[in-house]
Amino acid sequence: MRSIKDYADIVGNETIEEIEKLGSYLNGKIVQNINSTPVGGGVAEILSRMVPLLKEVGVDARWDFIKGGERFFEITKKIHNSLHGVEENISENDFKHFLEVTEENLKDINLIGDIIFIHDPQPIGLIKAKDKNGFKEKKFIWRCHIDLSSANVKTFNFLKKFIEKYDYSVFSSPLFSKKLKIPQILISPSIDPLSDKNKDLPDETINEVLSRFKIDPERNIITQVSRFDRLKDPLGVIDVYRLVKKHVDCQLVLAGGAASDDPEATEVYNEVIEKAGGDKDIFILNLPPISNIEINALQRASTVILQKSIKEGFGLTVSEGLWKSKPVIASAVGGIPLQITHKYSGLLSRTTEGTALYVKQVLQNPEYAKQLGENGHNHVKHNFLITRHLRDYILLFLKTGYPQMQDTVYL
Amino acid sequence: METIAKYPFKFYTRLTLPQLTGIYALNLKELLEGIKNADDSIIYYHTHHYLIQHHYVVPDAPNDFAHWIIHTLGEKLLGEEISSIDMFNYTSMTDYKQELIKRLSAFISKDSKTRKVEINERFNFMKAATFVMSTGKEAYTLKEFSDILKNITIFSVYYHFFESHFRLGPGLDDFSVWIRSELKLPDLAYKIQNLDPYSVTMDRLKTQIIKYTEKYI
Repeated sequence: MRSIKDYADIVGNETIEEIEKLGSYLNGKIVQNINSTPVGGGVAEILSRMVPLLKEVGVDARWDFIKGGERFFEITKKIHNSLHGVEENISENDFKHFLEVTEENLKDINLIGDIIFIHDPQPIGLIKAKDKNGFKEKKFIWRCHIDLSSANVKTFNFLKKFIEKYDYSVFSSPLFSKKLKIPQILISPSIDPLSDKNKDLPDETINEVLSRFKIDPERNIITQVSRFDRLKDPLGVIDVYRLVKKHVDCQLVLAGGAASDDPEATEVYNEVIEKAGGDKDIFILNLPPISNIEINALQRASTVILQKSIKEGFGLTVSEGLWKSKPVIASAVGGIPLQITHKYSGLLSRTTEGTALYVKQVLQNPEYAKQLGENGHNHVKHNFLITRHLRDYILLFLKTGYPQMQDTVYL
Repeated sequence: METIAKYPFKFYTRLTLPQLTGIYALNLKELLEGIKNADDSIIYYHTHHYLIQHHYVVPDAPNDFAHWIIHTLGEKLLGEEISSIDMFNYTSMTDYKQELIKRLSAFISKDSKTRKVEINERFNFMKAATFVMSTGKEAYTLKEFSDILKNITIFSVYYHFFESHFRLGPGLDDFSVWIRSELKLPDLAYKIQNLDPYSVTMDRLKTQIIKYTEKYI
């Protein structure tokens, strides 16, 4: 188990001291996180790292889950997709079932926290507890990890009735939010620099991974790490590679997963294989979800990293690439422009041809590539590491103890 | 002989939590309207948060308004004009805001055909909740002061160097006031006071103050 002190070498002891002191102001308060699952998915991953760190700095952080049967989670999956703008048929009966399961959870869950921190739409209805006797003093926060910018109106309006009863809402990007009557706090997600996916690796590990996949370490490597998903445009990445290869020698690595229970992912994976057409310099790596060291090694071995998404959430793979001091060329979509300042900490592109041009520039100008990578690393270090995320969460919890309109708090 | 202060320098720090206001602009006219309706906390956020978020880099446009005008609207001339408004010339955010309004209005009255951007390129008006906290560290001598300075975050430097302008008056910072009044070192105080924090990075500013103090130890 990692300790908060382990991060001092990266962000400085003074930053850790500051977080510990902040945490001390929450002594005696219980912060109860509630989501839908203890494992799998980004929220569980964040909480599994965040809750122990909060505890270590003196915050009595708890983590509970709601219950729901297969039908409930099918409905919440539809709600999730619909909030992302995907066409879904959610019936009145579905909404009714959602509310029934919410009522059951309200009876079962012991809302013991002084601050109840609800993650995403599945447990959103627990806010109904606020009307009960003895709950008036509790503060309720809704943390939205989803991009709501193109949310289906009917689905959003169903949730809005709950959202606006919370004391605070939290979004990952200004672009992901909606107009709401309650305060909206902005907290970006983060990467963990000490996780297997991001920690420093010895050269032997990197070389071993390259050798295992028969990738030549002496030649340029262009890499995109992402699921085999049309929205990540893996076919477009192959087009970019071919445009670049006309002028500069390179290899292409497309590393990601194609879960067996996702028929579309398998379909996209097969399309990618077909488009690659047996090119020996294209490496299509369908990796199991536990391949964090492999992903880390591939990113570290890369000459340039791409994230040519058509649509993106926050796009933390960009921060992962930048953290490794690599030049990252990514589409200007979702949360990516928050991570890359064009021509300073990476390159933002909008077309296949533009992406290819930037790749050629970076491959042929190693000093420029190095500068972009260094600037990107610094930007991530100060803005997208878990220590900043931890500090923001503590500040958020502290804020609930003061009037909403109070802009300055003297601790 | 080392001077020992009667009153120590107490190091505080200042941390912020950004907050969305739900108000946004898609063109210059909406930006102007938003600025007119914005309270001081919104103007302050958009003119200062970059110092913290990008404290290791000298930005080409040192505030969010100028950055958006240059990089999203493509109005480079106006952007440069807004960038170059010297914050030190204004005693309050209200005065600075009036100057912004004056310049934007003048530009719009000359050229009303400015670009309207897509919703995902909008300017989001934001503010921040601010938390001020003692670090528990205090210095009685210049040596102690310098040693502590090396081991505090840039948020603390920010508090004592930027926020002080609003507490103490323009051109005044906590460091130089204490060094002058308690350590009786007016030359050092003068050097620190004259640093322009809006045109150097926070990291550089911190290093420069440490360098100056070390020469007097």
